[in-house]
Amino acid sequence: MFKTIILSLMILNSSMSFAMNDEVIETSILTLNNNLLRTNKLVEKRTLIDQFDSLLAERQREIAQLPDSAENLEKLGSINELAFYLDIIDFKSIKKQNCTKKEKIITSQTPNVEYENSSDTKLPYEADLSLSVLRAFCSGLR
Amino acid sequence: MIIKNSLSLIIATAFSMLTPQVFAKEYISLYEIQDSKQAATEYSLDYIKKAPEILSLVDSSSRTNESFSHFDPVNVCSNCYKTARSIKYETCNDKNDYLNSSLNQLGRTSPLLSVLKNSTTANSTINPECIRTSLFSTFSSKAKSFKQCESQGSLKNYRFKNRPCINESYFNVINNSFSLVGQCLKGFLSNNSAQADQDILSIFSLINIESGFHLNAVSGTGAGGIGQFTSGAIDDFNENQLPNVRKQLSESSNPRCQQMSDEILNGDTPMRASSSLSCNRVSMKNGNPLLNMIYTFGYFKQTKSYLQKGLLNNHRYKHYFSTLPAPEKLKLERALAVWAHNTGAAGVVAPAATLLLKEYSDSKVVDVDEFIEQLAEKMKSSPARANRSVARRNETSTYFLKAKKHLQNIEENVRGGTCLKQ
Repeated sequence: MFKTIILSLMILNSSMSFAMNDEVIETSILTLNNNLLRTNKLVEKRTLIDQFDSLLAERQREIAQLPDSAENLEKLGSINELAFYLDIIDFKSIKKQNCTKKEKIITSQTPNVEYENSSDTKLPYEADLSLSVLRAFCSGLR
Repeated sequence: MIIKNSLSLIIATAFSMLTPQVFAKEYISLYEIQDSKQAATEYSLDYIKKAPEILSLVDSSSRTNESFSHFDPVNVCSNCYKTARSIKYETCNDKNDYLNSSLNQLGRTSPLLSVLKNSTTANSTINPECIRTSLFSTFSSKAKSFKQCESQGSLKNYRFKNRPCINESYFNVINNSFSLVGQCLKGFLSNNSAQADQDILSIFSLINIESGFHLNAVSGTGAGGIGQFTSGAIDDFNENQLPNVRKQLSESSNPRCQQMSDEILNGDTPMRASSSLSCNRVSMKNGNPLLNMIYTFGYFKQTKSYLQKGLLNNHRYKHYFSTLPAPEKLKLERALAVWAHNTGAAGVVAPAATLLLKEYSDSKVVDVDEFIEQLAEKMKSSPARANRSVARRNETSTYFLKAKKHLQNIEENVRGGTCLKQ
């Protein structure tokens, strides 16, 4: 129980800045991560991911129909980017043994620039968010 | 200080403009520019860029910014391609001969590169004249976009230098390396020979715009070598493609391909991702240009897989492409893979998804060229997060069309009208 609380806090911390500006998705991710942490069963975790995927697609369509304001376009782009990172993880192919490899797929998606100070090279927020989902998915897998 | 620097700028400009015939001679002879005014303008721009007063006005991280020092072949020198074709090799001088000692030591440091330095290539997919033109035309001889670094250290600790001397040894190493990597990894790219050739042509156009085939090209943002690699891309390749590439090379019936695997891809991570070891992206002692070319080929394939998963074959979007004939789908995939080398895969998919959801809604993509032009607009207006700065919006939105134009310019000036060897 204690371990779960600490792990969920660590995962939530990585996405605390809520830079997507879309409460629907951000709240859903928190709920998704919590639910993923609550089960160790692969089948149940995959079902949760499928449900979130449907929600994501629906939200994409909703926002695409909104007027072309800078805010709405940014929101749509952000959701598109999150969807991309989740898609390339390919949750259907995750097993306990390849969780680290899957993390590497996301952590290597750093911007195509190198800085003088390597700590300036950060993952995009959406990639970080997808990493939190991946870690919640992998947590407890047997 | 500002007044002093401004005065120096004015003086530098006036000086260079007053004596175009003398100072633009190099440009006229090198590029056979008919219009001496154009040569004078080019010289002036180069002179101004290099002036100490200008450099001191610009902070060190952006001084060697690619947009500042990168020769723009599309807009500046329309005659460069024809003339570059007629120049076989350069005469080296003390400003550009700094790679010659490494070339001369290849017999000790890299037996395979030494063989490539001394041989002529028979079976290349790409016409050597295209590679030569790329070497001469992508960067001017005075562009300070290169570093000499043969140690294990970081590129950031080394000063920028002029373009290296394009002598016969250098050309042979570059041309023959690309030819060998193409031969050895053709089957890795595709089982279909014609499609693999098109992939290699795309990789040619990518390297053309990234480094002009110069093994020691370094950008102002720290990207290094032939494919201008950064840490993330190197990590991605090492994790996801290196085992596959090793397998392809070691199982090849061509002994040179096996030698390439043994000699160049040795160790767990032949090219290290850490920026503190970034010299290994350019150093000949580390097997460059072969090493960086292998990574470029492998990363191209990896990027295509991301584009398939994230866009072209993705359940959300694949219906938009369902009426495109197969060759057009492949053409689009290659174009996006070249583009993603600069933008990152997310940098293509996020704006492409916005374009599809907003502009296509109930219709389908029927014209790939039109889609690409629309995507360029979307990269500017709805970029992925990492590409939101003004500089990145401009760079990403124009990258593919520049690469395409640069390739077109080269092909217009080569026998047969294509860089694919006939």
